[in-house]
Amino acid sequence: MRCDEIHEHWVDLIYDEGGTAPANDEIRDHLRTCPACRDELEELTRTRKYLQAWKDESPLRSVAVARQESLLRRKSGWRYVRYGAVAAMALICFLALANTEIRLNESGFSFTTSLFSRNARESEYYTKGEIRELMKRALDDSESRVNESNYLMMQKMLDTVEQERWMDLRFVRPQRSQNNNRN
Amino acid sequence: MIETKEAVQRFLEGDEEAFSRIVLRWERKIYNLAWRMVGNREDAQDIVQETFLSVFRSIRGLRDPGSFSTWVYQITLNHCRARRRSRDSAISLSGPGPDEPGDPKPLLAMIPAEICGDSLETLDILQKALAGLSEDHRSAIVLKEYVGLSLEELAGVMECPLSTAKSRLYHGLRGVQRNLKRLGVKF
Repeated sequence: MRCDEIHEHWVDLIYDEGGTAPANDEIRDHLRTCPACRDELEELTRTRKYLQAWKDESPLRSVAVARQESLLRRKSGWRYVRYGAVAAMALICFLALANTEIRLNESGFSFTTSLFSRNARESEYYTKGEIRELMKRALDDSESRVNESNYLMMQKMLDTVEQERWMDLRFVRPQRSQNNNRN
Repeated sequence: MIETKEAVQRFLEGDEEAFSRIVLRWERKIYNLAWRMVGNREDAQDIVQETFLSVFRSIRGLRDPGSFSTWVYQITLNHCRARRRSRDSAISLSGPGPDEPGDPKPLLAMIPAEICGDSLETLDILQKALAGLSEDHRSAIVLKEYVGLSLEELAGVMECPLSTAKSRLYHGLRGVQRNLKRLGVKF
């Protein structure tokens, strides 16, 4: 094997990643007998070692930190409002599903919930006759209230007309007597 | 921490916070790749942001979340190329260029690499040695030596056959060796 042929395999020899050149033994034989190639291989290996002196370092400014900060800023604003709205919606849905009843009595507000609608007793419903009676009473009430207000309004109007008539008479009488005297 | 593949999958499914995890996992790798490609920390920082912006915009077009690493390295290298084109790097070889004749400067001539460690001077020499390489050779060296890709992965990122990737790597190493010698490093 010639020196220029062996150069093609330097990388395989230096990095030795397995599955390298099939002529490995030949290369090693050549290296044993050729001091120039041996020196070159040695120098390349030292070059690699020298390269390793350039160590990794951390970035000057972390993009990840800046991005996380911006995400946190966004979170603290509208995101929390959104979470609040979703939570409120969930609560409303739960209350609706649980048939929640909110009552105000002497001791304050009271809440009762039941997951399924309870069967109401028959006594809790009005019968048809009762509803008819209630409606009739309501209509009568409203009719009598209308009649009453009309009566009061008419009464007030008559009073006003009467009052004006008297005022006119009071004004007309002295005028007429004055005219008679002139004549 | 969840795997990149899973984070990409979650982001594609609408979990916006998964992108933060991707950034957290990848920004250091991308920063160091960019820094070694452009040789300047500020530019590297800008490239990190540009890369994540590109990733955010086009990640929905990524068919296989498993190929995210190859894809993100390609995006980073593209941004590095654009940056280097738009702005000449301030770093240049002090002394004769890699292909120019001239006497080597006696910089660190007697100090072996093992002793130099990662001092600022060593870093400066390495930046100059890499800056003297062509774009392809530099990419091959950085992806292999610093990112730690396998030869197969290297060929995948560089979108070339395995033999071409090996050739670029070999010539890259030779170029670094030559530049280091010109800068006065004794092997």
